[in-house]
Formats: sequence, structure tokens, C-alpha cells
Amino acid sequence: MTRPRPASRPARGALWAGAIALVVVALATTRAAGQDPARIDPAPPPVALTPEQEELAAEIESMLKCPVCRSQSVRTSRSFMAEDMSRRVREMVAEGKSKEEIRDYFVARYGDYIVLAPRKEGFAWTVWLLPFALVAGGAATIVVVTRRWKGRAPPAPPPPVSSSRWMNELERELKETE
Amino acid sequence: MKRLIVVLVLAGVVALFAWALSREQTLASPLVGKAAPPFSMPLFAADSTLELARLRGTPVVLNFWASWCLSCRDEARVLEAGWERYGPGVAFVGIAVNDEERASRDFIRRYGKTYLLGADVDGSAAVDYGLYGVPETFFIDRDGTILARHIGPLSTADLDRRIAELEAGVTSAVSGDPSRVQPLTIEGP
Repeated sequence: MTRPRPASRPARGALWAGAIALVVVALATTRAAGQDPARIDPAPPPVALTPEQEELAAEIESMLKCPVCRSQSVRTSRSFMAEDMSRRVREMVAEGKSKEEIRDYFVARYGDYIVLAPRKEGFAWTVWLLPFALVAGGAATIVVVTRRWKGRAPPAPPPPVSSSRWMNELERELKETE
Repeated sequence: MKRLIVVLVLAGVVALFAWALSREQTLASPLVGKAAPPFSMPLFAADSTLELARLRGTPVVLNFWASWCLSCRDEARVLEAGWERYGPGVAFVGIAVNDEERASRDFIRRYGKTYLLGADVDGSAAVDYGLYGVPETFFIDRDGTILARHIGPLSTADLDRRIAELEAGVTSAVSGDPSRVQPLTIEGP
């Protein structure tokens, strides 16, 4: 029975190199074939827009409310939700969608609540007109009240107070002190 | 008389403010009764993608979740038990939103989730479904129409009732507890 001879130093090095090469090749082929079950595609890169499209996207983002924030637009918020919405806005702008189409898309999912400024139609007109109506009503009230005040007769002057009694009293006290 | 009118107007304004402040916060859901937005997402369990269209003909329980969401832990086992009870006649789909892949996988392992689970990689599904936070669950009928939306964690009773409605084709209003939805407000990287 002969014992296997230990590999010589150069032979051992070749074995290691071969093993490493095998592992590298196996990893590379597994990745190439998409067989790595731990892989989830990374998020797509940001959508590139022309300067005009950037302007439109910014306008739309400023128009949309961040649904999970308090009084913040999609443009000013840094929440996850706002970032996702911003990406969708940019995608739609890049696809050539108009401002109205993009607004309709978000309204169809979140309701009118998602738009910071309501549309100028139907009942929504009250939101636009009510402040002006209140200001006009207030101004009219001030004018009416002021005119009424002006129209009133001036208050009668107070009856003349006879000061002789007080003068006599004063003189008496002065004499007493002298 | 004039004073009475002024007092009445002021009382009305105060009552209006009080009502506005005290009323229950509800989340609008224009999607109920409409076609479920299509989506395609990579699955955690296999190197494949799931398209909602592939599930046409099967009722779908579509749940949005995240590993960082506390309420999602409450409903994780409810959903898995539901899948074991109703699947595959009812498809259960879980979409992880704004989550890290490793954290999602740990969550799936910890709670033994076995139904169709994938990631909303670019956040498009969250926007398409008008999401406010997690967990939220949509019930989609065989024809691909959203019949109901549940906000907050599902209990077993909620799930049973919703699936019964789903199988009967009943459209219902939004239900759930908005206070238990964790909004997607965490700042991005």
C-alpha cells in the first residue's frame, strides 16, 4: 500500500488557482444566468428631462400635495411617498403627458384632496370665490357702519358746570393755608 | 334681535370648526369599484416577476407591507393563515414598499410567509394604488376590479368577511383603522 504523495509546492499552487478560478466562473455564470435568488433589481435611475420638462415637472410637483405630510407639496417634501410620486410625475412628463393628464392620474388614485389648489369648476368655485365674497362683505359692512356713525347727530355738549362753588371752596382753602 | 343673530352666527362658526376638528379622519379611495392598476414586481422567493394580469380569474388579496411597520407584524400571521385556509382559490400577494431587501427577507422568514411576496422596487405600485402608508390591503375580484380597501392591520374576522364579500362580488366602502396605518413619511436616503 503506497501512501499518496503530497503534492509538490508548484502543483499545490496550481490546485488553489484552479479552485479559485472555478469559484469565480461559477459565480459569474450564476449571475449571468440570473439564478441568484437573493437578487432584487435595484431602483431605476432618475428620469432625465429637458429644461422645459424639468420646469413642467416642478410646476406639477408644486401643485400636488404630499399625502402623508402636513401642508407640504410633493416638491418640498422629502418623504418616501413624495419621492415615489415625484418619480411618477417625471416619468409621465417624459412620456409627453400634459399637466391635466398627470393631475387626473393622481386625482383618480387619491381623490381631489391630492391637489393643493382645487379646480375652477362646479362647487369648487366656492373655495375660490368665498374669500373674495367675505372681503367684499366685510368692506360693505364697514362702509355701512361708518356712514351710520357719520349720519348721527353730534352728541350734545355737556351742560355748563357752574364752577363758582368750587372756586369759592378753593379760595377758602387757600385762605386757610395762608 | 340683532345681538341674537350675531350670537347665532358665531355659534354656528364655532360649531363648524368643532365638527371639522372632531370628525373621524377617513382616507379617500376613488379606486374602489375601478380596475386594479396593473403591476409587475420581482418576487423574493424565485428569480421571476409577478404580473397582476396573470392572476386574472382568481380573487386577489393584495397587501402592502414593510418590515419596519409595527402594524404589519400584527397581521403577518393572519395573512399567512388566510393563505393556508383560502389559497390557492384566492391568491394572496404581498408587496413590500420602501423597504430594504435584506430586512424584507428577514421579516418573511421570521413570520413564515409563503404566499407571493415581492418588492415595489421603484415605488410605482404604491403610487398607482394611491397608498398613504402600510399596511393597506386591496381586495380584487376575478375580473380585476377592486371591491374593497382595508386600511390598517387585518384581523382574522376582517379577512374572513372581506373574502366572503370578494367571493360574493360585493363592493364595499373603505374599512379599517387609519390611525394604525404607518404613513410613508420616513425620509428617503
